[in-house]
Amino acid sequence: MSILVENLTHLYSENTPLEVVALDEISLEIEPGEFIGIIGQTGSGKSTLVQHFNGLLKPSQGKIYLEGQDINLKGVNLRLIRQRIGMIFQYPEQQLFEETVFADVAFGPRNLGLKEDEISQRVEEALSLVGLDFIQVKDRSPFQLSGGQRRRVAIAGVLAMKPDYLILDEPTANLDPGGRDEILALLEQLNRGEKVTIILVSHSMEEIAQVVNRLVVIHQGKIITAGSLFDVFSQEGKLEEIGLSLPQITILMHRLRQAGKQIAADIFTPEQAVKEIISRIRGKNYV
Amino acid sequence: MIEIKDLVHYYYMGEEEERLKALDEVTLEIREGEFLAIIGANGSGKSTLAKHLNGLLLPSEGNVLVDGVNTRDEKTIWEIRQRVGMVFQNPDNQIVAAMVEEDVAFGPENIGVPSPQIKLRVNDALRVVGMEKWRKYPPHLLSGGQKQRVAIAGALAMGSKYLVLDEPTAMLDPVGRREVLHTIKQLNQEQGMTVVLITHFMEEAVEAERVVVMEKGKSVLEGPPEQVFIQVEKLKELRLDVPPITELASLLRSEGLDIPLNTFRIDEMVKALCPYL
Repeated sequence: MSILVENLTHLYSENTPLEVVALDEISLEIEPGEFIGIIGQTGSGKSTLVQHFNGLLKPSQGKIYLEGQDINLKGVNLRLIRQRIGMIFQYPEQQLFEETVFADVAFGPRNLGLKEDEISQRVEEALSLVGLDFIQVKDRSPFQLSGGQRRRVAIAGVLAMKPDYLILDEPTANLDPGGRDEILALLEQLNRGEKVTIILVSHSMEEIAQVVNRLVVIHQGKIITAGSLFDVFSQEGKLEEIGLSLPQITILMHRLRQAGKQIAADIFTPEQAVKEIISRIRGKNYV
Repeated sequence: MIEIKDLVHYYYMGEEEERLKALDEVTLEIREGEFLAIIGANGSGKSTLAKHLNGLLLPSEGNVLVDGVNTRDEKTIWEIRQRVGMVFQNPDNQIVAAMVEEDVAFGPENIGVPSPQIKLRVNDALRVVGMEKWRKYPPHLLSGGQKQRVAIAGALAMGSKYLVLDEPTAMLDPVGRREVLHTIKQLNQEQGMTVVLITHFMEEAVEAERVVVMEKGKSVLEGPPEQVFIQVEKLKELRLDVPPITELASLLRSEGLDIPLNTFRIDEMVKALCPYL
């Protein structure tokens, strides 16, 4: 039971002189309940990859299975698949179009043919999940809200579909640090509380290190490395080569080790670092 | 020098009575040759402030003087816009020509600079931002960081003395961000350009000489990075980040370690920690 990607190759402008290999034989399995990060530079193919997961793009070669079902077979109901695999694009607030917040969030559930009271209930739930007050915002125009609030309305629109899997493409781009932390906290809550599988596309290591359990690094259409944060971050040189930098704190730990100090390498945040450093200093004084 | 005196700005939302005070009596001096960073949460007024520096917005109350000239004076507004160059967030919204060198030449052509001089200015500007190799390229084939450097070259070719950048790296990846920041620092240090950088990225703000923190239309904190970024709790209250190394430094200090206040970078932290470990 998973999203299974098998030998996926995607060519843009296939069979023309402008043909570009965007994805090159990618294989990957995403298990239910995971919080997985997909990281890579602009143009690495990460957005192209995730747009295959719910059939927005078709593979040039290879297959995508959702829970054992090849989603690109004839006769497969893609609407059903897109309902289960929600996709939040970059700058999703640009897709808001209704006159009120309620109507915008209700758009998806209404298209599912749900009854009015069920729609209303879903809108209320979705808005409360993203931290907006239903009564306060439901009748307002989305365009009267702040940028961060608009983005949360857009996310609520996808959550109202109750997806099992949620793909987010750079969901924190252009938000201030406070807004970014709110979105990350929301994703953690969805993953832990609501058991939604989260696929987070990002180019920020600092951000991804805060939340994911597993990391896939893409470069020039290929998976360069994948695994736990520890496994991936131990390959500093390789990541630097493709223009990705480790979280600053992790680099600090690596530098201290290179200077011959005994210290753990799998440290990603200031809070973890202070614990490790203090316990090393106390240990040393004790001996 | 740019002097901002008791600057108030209202945005009107439809009805006359419904107005939003985006800037609330801001007073600030931007000195010649300095590198100033302005940080603040979304909606704190920092972009509004930037648009006042070259008269794209005019004060509801108060005044903005660029080298002594008031932005309210219609006769001199073009002179002011020439002096204060602007670079915005989205590189795709500010490129007008089909070739890099034409784009950079667009500004000087518009103000009637003679052709031979335009050529010199364009050459110089592209060299300074490290884009001379791409002069004949169509801009849409450039990376985000390269496009922003072309936009900066455009301001240089106008002979701007002040460069105001409104989140120029927000839409760029880490490589593009590094390129643009490097270009900005170099302009400031080698060309003596006055730089006002509005940013969400604290690791960029620590590179400035002075940092202004905005909240709800006011300047609430101001000083060199080592004074601003040690106020970890205050910054978090303002929904801002503290650079991770600075946050670690503050946590270590509260554990009784002696970490210097200006520890922002990894090598500085390694040096501070080595005696303990």
